[in-house]
Amino acid sequence: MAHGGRHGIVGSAIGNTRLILIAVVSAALAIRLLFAPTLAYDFDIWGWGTVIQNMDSGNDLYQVAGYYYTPVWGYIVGSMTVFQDLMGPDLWGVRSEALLGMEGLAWPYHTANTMSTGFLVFIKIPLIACDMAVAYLIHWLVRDRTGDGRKAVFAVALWLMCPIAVYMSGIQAQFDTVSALFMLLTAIAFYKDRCLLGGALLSAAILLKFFPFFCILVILAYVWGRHRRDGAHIKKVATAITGMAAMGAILILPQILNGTLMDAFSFALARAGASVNVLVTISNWGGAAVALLGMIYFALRMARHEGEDRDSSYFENLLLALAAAVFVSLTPQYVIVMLPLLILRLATHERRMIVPWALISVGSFMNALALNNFSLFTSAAEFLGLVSPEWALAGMQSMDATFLGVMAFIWIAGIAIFLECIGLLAIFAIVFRKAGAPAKRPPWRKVWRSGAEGSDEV
Amino acid sequence: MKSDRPVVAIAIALVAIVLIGEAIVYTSGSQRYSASAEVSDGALEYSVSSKGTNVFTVVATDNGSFSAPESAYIYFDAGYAPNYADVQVAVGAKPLDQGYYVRQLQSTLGYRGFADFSVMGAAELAEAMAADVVAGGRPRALIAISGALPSTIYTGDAGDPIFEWIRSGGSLYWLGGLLGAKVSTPGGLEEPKAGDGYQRLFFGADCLNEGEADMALSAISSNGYRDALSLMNNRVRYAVDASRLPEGTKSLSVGYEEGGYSSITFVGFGEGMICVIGGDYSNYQRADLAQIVCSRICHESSIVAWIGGSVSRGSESGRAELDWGGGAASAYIYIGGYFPVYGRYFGFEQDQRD
Repeated sequence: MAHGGRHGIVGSAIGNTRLILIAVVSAALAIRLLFAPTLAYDFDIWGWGTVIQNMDSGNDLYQVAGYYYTPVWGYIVGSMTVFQDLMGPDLWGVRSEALLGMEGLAWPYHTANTMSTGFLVFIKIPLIACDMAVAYLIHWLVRDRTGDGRKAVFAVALWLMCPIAVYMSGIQAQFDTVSALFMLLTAIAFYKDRCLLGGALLSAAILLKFFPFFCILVILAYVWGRHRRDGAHIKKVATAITGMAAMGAILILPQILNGTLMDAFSFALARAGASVNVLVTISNWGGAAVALLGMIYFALRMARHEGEDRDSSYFENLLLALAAAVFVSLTPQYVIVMLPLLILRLATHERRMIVPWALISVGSFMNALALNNFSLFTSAAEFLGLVSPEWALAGMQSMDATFLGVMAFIWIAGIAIFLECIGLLAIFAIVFRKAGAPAKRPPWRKVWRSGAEGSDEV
Repeated sequence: MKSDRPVVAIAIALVAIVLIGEAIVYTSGSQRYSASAEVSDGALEYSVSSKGTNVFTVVATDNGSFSAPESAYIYFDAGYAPNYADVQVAVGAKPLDQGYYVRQLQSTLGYRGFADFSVMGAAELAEAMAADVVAGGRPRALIAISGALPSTIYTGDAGDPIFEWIRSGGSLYWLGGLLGAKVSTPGGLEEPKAGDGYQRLFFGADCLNEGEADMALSAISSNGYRDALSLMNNRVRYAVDASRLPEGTKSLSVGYEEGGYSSITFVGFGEGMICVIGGDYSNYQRADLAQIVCSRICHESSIVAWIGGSVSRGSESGRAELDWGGGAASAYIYIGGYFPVYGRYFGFEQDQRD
């Protein structure tokens, strides 16, 4: 309210964080709800229809082709079908004759199958709800960490207005916002010393999309170090592992019983392995190596943490482990899982994180637009008549035009990935620059020495 | 320190959603649906029920003089060389090889109402086909996706068992390669005895797409089956150009068309039929194969009517006065439109329609 006197009503409104929060949330909802029924990425959203088709016809998730992820998103879709059963839509999609030409584009992940407006909304509403839940958790966590409502609202705005977050739930309909939600819940559960719940959530997060796997060691190091003094460290770690194991077993039991367990992990393995060309394959394997090294290094960094603010170090190392993990594949949606932790760091400790936030969110958004471009209009063309299918198709084909022998969409995607990479590297640069010169001893030596001396700061 | 109860509540709710979904995924199935149809005083009376909310389609067909197959052999023999091309699949998807295709096909046929099939190897198939020819009786289908027929039934000679079997009323559903171009043996692929004339053994003319043209960009609208059966595969490699068939040959082209080649073509052969589905392996192709096998359409088929509707947590029924013509009448009811989750075929006797 301090601004109210100087700037009148407007200033008063700006000073009212609750009002700003309501405005931000309303605007974020409005943007998403505007896009939800109109724009969509054909390939992914058709895939979700196929997943429902397979389960409704008695083929669960993996008996016939259509679902390639670990099972948790399939289960969530299974729950969503309760609403589809009750309220529709009855018509999910059609195969558009006018758009058949898009299946001959250079980027192979397109289909002339276009989904109905009702189906777009049906799939996206839960994703938008997840966006809101993540916003709530970010607000809760920033308030908890800082006690500052303005910082919390600032963080919420950075999440809800982040272009790639808006795009993935409001347009493309990829479930990375659910991944972010699980990751954030996991982080908070351990932060609040709820190890059983945290372990269970971590397991579900990993079986949703694999990136949180790379946080396991950081989390265990945090729990261990936190309870080293009170002697409960072994019990707490065991509790966390029990939670993980129990939830993991429940989630993959059906695949174990019907012999489709390897199918459940095929996507995660394929992402880190061979791909369409040698360059991408090398990049994927290299990325996997970075992720694994990051997983180990940041766990050691967590383990050697000394000082009072162990919790800050925990959230920071989680962020760094996830940032390293994202190098496995710089596909646009994957960065979303780490964005809440990046925003947390930005809001609570390090304003310079606005640079990586901007580079990553804009870069990944650009990358998604480059790859999907005018195909986003196919449902709008087929079901709403907002544009003609011919216009959408011509637009897609124009993105295959070459400059210096390279297609337009690859140029744009390349620039976008470059920005994304710079953004990811900037996270490390900011963290390590702030930490000062690199440690005189590498962290593993520190751990070894501390352990040998019986230090409780292992 | 703030209370974390709201966070715990969100976490528990989310885990509950996941676990409820898991139960739904592994208990759902086509038992959620049912359909029935009968003909009374020439009118088709149908009923469709669903525990969910779905579109449904009723396709009434006149199959002329053709007797639809009631059962099928699916050929798969890992000991005989196949002749299909590897295809690119989505990231994380299993390689779409012959074995995986066959496994998926069995499931797809099952929930769309064609349950009487058996998977057979080369030797077993030859014995079964020989027995069929001797016994006569109910016509059968052979689904072969191997890209090359095994030497036990085809060598490239007009007297081979495959021709005798089709001529006596069998229906061959073929995909994966040029029909008859290669002979599959345990030792590899061999040239047929007929040499370059292999197509004439099956069709009486050279009519298969031997070139690179593959993607069809237009649908065949003349007979309505593409929309009525929600056909999706628009590939025409290895497909038939029906315009090149000898005069008087009965045929039907459905689906998609490019350069005269159709994604699905039915060609009459004696008392039986050959159906060629174009393109390399794909999930769309598998869906179309299942749809045409389950609907029992053939080279003499014509749509009498197709009725679309919607059903939501209950039943929908209807009655349509139809002009059936003089041929074998049938109805195929499926639920889900381009995402079929259930299908049933109903064949009607002549006296039911009168």
